[in-house]
Amino acid sequence: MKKALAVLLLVALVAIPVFAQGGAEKFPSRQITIVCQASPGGSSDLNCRTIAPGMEQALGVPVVVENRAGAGGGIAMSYCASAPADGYTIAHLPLDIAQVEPAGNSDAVPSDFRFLARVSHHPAAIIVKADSPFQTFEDYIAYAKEHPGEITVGNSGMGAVWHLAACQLEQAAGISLNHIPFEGAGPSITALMGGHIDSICASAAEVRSHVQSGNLRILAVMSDERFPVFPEVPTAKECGIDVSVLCWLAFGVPAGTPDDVFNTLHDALKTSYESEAYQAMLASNGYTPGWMEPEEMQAYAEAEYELYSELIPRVLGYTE
Amino acid sequence: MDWSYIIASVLSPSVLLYTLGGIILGMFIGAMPGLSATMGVAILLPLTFWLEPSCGLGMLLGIYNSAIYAGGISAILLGVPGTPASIASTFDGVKISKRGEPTLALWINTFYSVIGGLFGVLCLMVASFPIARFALRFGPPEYTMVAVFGLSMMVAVSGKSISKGVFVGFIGMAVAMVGIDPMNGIKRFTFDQFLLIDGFQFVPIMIGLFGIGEALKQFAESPVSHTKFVKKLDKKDKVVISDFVKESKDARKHQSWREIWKAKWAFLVASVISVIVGAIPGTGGDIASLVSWTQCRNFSKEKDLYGEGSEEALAVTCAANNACIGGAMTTMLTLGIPGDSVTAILIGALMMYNYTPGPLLFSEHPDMVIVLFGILIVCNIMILFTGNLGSKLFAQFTKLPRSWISVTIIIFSLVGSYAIQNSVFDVIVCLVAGLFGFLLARGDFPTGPIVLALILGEMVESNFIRTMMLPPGTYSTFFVRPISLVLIILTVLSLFGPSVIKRIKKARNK
Repeated sequence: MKKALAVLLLVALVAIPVFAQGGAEKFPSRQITIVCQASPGGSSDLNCRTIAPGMEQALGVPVVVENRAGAGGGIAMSYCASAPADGYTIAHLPLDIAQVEPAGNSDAVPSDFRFLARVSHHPAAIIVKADSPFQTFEDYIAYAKEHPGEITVGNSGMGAVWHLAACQLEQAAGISLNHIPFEGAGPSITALMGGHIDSICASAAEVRSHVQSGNLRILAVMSDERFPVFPEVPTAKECGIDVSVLCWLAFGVPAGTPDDVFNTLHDALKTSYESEAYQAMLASNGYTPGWMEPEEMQAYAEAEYELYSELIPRVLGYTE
Repeated sequence: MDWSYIIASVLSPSVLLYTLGGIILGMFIGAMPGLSATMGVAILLPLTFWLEPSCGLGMLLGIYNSAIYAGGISAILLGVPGTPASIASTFDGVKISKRGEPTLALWINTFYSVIGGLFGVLCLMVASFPIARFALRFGPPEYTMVAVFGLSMMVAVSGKSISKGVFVGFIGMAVAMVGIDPMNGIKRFTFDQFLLIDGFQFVPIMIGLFGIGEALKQFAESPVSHTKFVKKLDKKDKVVISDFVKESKDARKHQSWREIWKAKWAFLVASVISVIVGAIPGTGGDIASLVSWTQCRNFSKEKDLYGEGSEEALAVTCAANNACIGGAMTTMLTLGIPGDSVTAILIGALMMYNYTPGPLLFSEHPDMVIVLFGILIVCNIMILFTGNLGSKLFAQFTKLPRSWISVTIIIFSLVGSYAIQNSVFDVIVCLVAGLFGFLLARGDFPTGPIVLALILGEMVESNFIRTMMLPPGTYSTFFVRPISLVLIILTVLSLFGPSVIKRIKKARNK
């Protein structure tokens, strides 16, 4: 026992300096961590865990996923923003990065990061039960205009992405809805299926199985183009209401990461993104493949941040 | 329907092997406080993409069933629930093992988990559609009343002093208030700390109260126990530590058929309650086993023994959390709505294999549905065998010196609380909760009410406000909806029933 321990210590003594030296020479030389802002089991976690194996193959070092949930993703984003800019910490950055600072959940903002790329997105949608009196999106809007505040619309929590999407719809259409918050999108779908609320605002991808099984109906998606899974569903823009809310998923590294490291990671991410396994995950979850190159993504994220910095305080009624 | 295909896919060696792998892995995950069934299934999900559907699902269902079962192992041996679903198993389990019958307690856990699990599968097979439709009728008013009903159990889990119980219950409520308010997004008691925005995590507090609190209690107590340890010299004159068990009371390894038969009604009540609680989205094994424990206590002949080491009480809680699995699977398979957090992830797994849960699954892929039933049955049978083998091994643990056990509990608790979301803050929360739990134990305060308040506090608040936000927005909503009204009546009965019956009996005797 003691002998074994001594041998182990000796190996560690020799190994540590060797590995540490290696780090200075070539990137990557040790394990890379993808920090996921949500707990295991959700769409963010799945996105990270499916992208990791492909990057591992491309980079030749272990790529592991670490979940640091909390504060609507704010904990993980603050953590990553202050991590060393050496490329060994990759942040999973969904739309939430544009919202955590305005909501007061974190100090992190999109400019704290260099975006590696956007990988996918899925649009917000207005969904009703299959036996709902609202047959079309126009019906829904017309009724809401005549009866302000009467239609109940469930969301995944006040100030969360789908609530903000419903608020943007209200603003664009000039209507007023009765927002009912739930603890996540799942419970709101359940309440809709049970007939306890009239409609929900949620991800079109998240309800696709219920739509396919004929229990729910999507009235419209809030995106520029039609949602590939349900090409027959109109966009809000086609119905004359100018609103577009996409929930996007991207990856980034702390700002100040050197170019060569950045490019290595970018290429590895792209290889993994193009892999069969990753594309299969996107397809089976109804996420739209949405590769966006770094510069474009950076500008896009910062524009989203501007939008939500204005919207969130107004919606949540902050006076500051 | 192709029966040969079904039998071949359930009983093929590779499916059995992956299921067994899941069972063994689940046992470790479940017995380790802090690692929950949800986390285990979520982390292993991507690994199963490359497997055949029946192999992958066998592995995931193996982890699910076995982790819920194994949560009881640490509840019995250490007094620390391995998963929240085993909280109620600590009430009696640890007392049975402390009085020197750990093997018996572990046998009860294995046996009742398995028959509870099989009962759940039976309900899933014969009545999944009616159960799921009933579960969907639970809206905000019904959830409010379920939670109020649950909170009324504070009295039952208070032990000797109800006022002490209710007092700590309110402390639990206050702790549950911290963080973003569920309805308006306003931050309460966060003191501008990002770490407090989501409030306190339930699991670190649970591990702290039960784990660290228990360990500290053991340090503080006088070191008299039923085992004594002496230093001894072995043949080669090396010092070894060995124990002298005063009198091995651990003679009873299992219950007799008569004892099992005696608990039949309690088992049935608990299993039916748990299947329904499991089927209702958003409520899981923790609530199911707590409700079962309280309700069975109301009906039981050995009412006074509940909480003091009753074998029936332990059996009830062990059966409850595994029966819950069948309930959760009914809503998941028939409606595509998760009955609890693990089934939420299993939906993702089924979709990966292109089996979309919902009514169509039963008409389009009946073979797959029956394969799932088969796998669930196989899981339970495997737990019976591996569990009984494992129990003998695990029971040796209680023969270790007390100080070793305490240190092990502390290490497990700290590692477990860090593992939840890789946060040092949670470790601190766990330690503080542990210290608090120790002080409570010294003052003879019960810990059950705090746990109830933490599980149900937010559920009452958000659903009550939600009910009032929905039209018509009046208090009468609670009384005109049948399920909600029945729950109100049950709450009143369970609060005042016992004392009224006592009075009536007294009056008759006069």
